[in-house]
Amino acid sequence: MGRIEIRRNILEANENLARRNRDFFASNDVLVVNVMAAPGAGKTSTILKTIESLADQYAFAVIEGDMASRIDADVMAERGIPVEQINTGNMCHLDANMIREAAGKFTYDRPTILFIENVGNLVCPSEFSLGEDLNIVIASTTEGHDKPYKYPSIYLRADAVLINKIDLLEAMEFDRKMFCDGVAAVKPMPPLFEISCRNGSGLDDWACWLASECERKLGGTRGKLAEG
Amino acid sequence: MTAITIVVGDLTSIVDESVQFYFNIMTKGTILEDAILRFKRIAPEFVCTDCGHLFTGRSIGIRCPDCGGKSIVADKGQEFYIESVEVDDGAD
Ligand SMILES: Nc1nc2c(ncn2[C@@H]2O[C@H](COP(=O)(O)OP(=O)(O)OP(=O)(O)O)[C@@H](O)[C@H]2O)c(=O)[nH]1
Ligand SMILES: [Mg+2]
Ligand SMILES: [Zn+2]
Repeated sequence: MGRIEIRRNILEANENLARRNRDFFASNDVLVVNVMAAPGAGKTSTILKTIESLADQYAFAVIEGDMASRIDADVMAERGIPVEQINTGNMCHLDANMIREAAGKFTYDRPTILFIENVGNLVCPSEFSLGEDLNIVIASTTEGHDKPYKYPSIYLRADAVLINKIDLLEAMEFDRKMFCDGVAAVKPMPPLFEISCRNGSGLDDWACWLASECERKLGGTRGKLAEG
Repeated sequence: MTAITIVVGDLTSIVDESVQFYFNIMTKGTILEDAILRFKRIAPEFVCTDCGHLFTGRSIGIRCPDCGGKSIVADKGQEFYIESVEVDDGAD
């Protein structure tokens, strides 16, 4: 028997495609935000609210990933937001190749924030890079404060963490400290925003942070973005 | 006979049985049809945020065995790669 050392990443093909997506987005002045969360945590609601608050500063596009249906895409389209729906069938996550196809369908004529609403799932999306600039994890008070302990891999990739449905914090007996300790046990505490898509609280801070991230990536290339 | 060693960190969402399942489907009728997959699982490693002690453990939020301090996930546990392939080269 001969033994051959390989040491090759099994998801290499996806990583390579993700890198090509990243180049494509950079050359088109697109900031890509991969939104990951459990089903029903408030991905669609958060994306809508964020677009509402930053609509006069950037152009937006949305890629909706769901196993089935066009429900979320229709919500975006109704509001005139450019949207592509990806139905993954029985796949539980999006991959770089799906994003390449969908992202190519938009026109980017000014600095754009592209939201990717990943399939509602706290497990598989964490393994697949898409070419995104930011990974956002949305937790919600309704799913309980123990999720960072149970699903660490998704939190490992989080560049920012949102706790949505903060209006229900008391009713859900959501233990904020236990939640934050869990995130901090996975990685150095990323920016954390407590928001409510229902009553609007916390959304300004979050939108402000996102805009500053956008400045950081696109500001240099285009000079004038959000008028100063 | 061919044997492939795959390294999987326990912090990934990769399940050995499901890799094996798809491997069997994809290799049917190819030279890898009878290849054996060997899985090497890597336990997550944690580092103490107080004393820097490095230790392996099972769960997030585990306390440092040395000083009782809080821990944070270190590098190990997120692997998913092919380590090596063993092939019959005719020699004994
Ligand atoms: N009380 C309260 N309800 C909310 C909030 N945000 C979203 N919801 C509700 O939660 C439900 C799910 O919200 P969505 O935005 O559709 O969640 P999602 O993560 O996109 O769901 P999927 O795409 O189906 O996984 C809806 O009924 C929303 O009205 C919030 O801040 N507070
Ligand atoms: Mg949705
Ligand atoms: Zn210690």
